[in-house]
Amino acid sequence: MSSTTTVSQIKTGLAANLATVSGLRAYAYQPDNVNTPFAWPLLDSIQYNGAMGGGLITHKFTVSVVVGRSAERTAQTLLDGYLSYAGSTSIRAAIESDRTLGGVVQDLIVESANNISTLEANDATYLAIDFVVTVYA
Amino acid sequence: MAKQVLTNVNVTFGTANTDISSFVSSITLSTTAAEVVTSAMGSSAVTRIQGMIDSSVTMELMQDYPTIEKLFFDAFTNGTAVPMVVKPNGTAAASSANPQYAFSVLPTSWTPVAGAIGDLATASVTYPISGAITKTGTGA
Repeated sequence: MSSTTTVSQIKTGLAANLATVSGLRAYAYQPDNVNTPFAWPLLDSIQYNGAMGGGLITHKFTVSVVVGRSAERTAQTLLDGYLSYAGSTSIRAAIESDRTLGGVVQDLIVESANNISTLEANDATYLAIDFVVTVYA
Repeated sequence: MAKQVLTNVNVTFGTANTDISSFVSSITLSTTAAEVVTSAMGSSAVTRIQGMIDSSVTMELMQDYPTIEKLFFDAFTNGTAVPMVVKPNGTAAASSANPQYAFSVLPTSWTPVAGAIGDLATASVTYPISGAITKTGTGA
């Protein structure tokens, strides 16, 4: 943990937690193909030296979820489940299902969901949502 | 040694010398002496000597229940002074660039739970030092 934890380990851990949502394709890195629904973590910032000797390193991630074609009712239904606080498809619950990411970090919390938006790709419009995650390594 | 940024202060606490550095976000070791006036009749200016020395240590801690909370709660409930060692530049041998400050603190307070929802759990302590601070390190 702490100074020995790599960013790759955290991304892999987040992807593993996301993969617990049935039907959601979870990646540690942004995928090349648009095959919805899918999610991946993107590192926004790192705050080093939260404690002496590298004892606390704070990572801010955005977990982006591309739900499906915005015009489809199934995509909108999926979005409702993903945004819920709890439930089998809750993204928050999935990410926090193992708050140590297999023992590589000290704790994490899903702060918020925001930026519900549409995404243009392959001549189609997709629904997307971002989750802000703080990871304490 | 040049001016430096504190990132690696080594801190041990308790009779087992538990290294708590990775849970310490800030530490202040301070020492003051009482000012005793020695002016006498006929003096035209106040004269002073140093009186009793009083020291304390203040730490901001990241809470961790199996480690930090147990260590400090046990120390508090024991009610006796416990040893602490502080070295500003890690675990390297004591020297002029990394002087070692050893002392005993009296745990007079403890806050097992502190923080708002969504915040990192922390604890803040200020303990009086019982006795003198011993500074070691060649040339220190």
